[in-house]
Amino acid sequence: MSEPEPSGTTPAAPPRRVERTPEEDLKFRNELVASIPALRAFARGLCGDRELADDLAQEALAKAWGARDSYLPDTHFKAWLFRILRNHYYSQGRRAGRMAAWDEELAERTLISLPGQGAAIDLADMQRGLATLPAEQREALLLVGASGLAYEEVAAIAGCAVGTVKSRVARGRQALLKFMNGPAEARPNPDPDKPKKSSEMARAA
Amino acid sequence: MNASGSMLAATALPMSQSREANDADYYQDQSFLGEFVEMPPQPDPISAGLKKLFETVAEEPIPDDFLSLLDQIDAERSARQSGASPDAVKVSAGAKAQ
Repeated sequence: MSEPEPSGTTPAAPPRRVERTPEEDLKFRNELVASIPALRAFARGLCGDRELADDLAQEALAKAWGARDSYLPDTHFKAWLFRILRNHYYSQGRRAGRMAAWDEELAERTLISLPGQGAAIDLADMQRGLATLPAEQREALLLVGASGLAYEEVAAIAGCAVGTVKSRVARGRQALLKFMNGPAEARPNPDPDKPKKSSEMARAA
Repeated sequence: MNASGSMLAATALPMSQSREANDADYYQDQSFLGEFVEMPPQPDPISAGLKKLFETVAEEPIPDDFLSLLDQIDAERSARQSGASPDAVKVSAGAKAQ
């Protein structure tokens, strides 16, 4: 029989192309661009500090570009990118997952009111609360609560079980509520050099 | 306790009472409703705050640093496309203008 095997193990199958076509590169590049706002927001939530977060986000973008051949087309791009960022964040031991807790600019536009609800939320307060959480709870809250990813996607990003994500979200949420409802004086001021301000002023007003 | 609540309603009313009175008593006591009537969706302050935090940053204009990173990416792409060695242009973060 001189004919090649009809199916499956065709030796003639071309080896997996390593380099992508220019079109694929362009598509990838455009997906990167479209993800920049979300990536920045995730980084900011993770480490709290504007400059650190933007460095982190840029490093993640460069890494993602370098690793684009490992991205499986048509899988969740944002999740893939977030995973690169958070792995980079932890691998850097970025202040051992600690957060700077205080974003001056964000603190300036701090009070938001929820439609249909009397209460207002103090964003700066929430940021300080986030900073008191263990990094993995903060990450879970940000990914599930803020960026709106599914538990399964968050589990893939964080490299843990879905149940673990759920319990991190639940515990983080509880701790955050407790922090925000608690008396302001009882809180640790994460950065003692900087005065407490907008939230207290808003309360006094 | 919804189970015992409805038990009470069923057993505590004397047979002599009219159907209307039964119903009136029954519907007047709504203390059990909290157990199984679904409350209208409350805006959850934590979720709303987290979303707002996220959106606030996401809506900021993208800093120039990011655009120069994209320029690097585009330079690498066009270098590759024109057949030049892709190593000629390397994308790296942190190559920011001081």
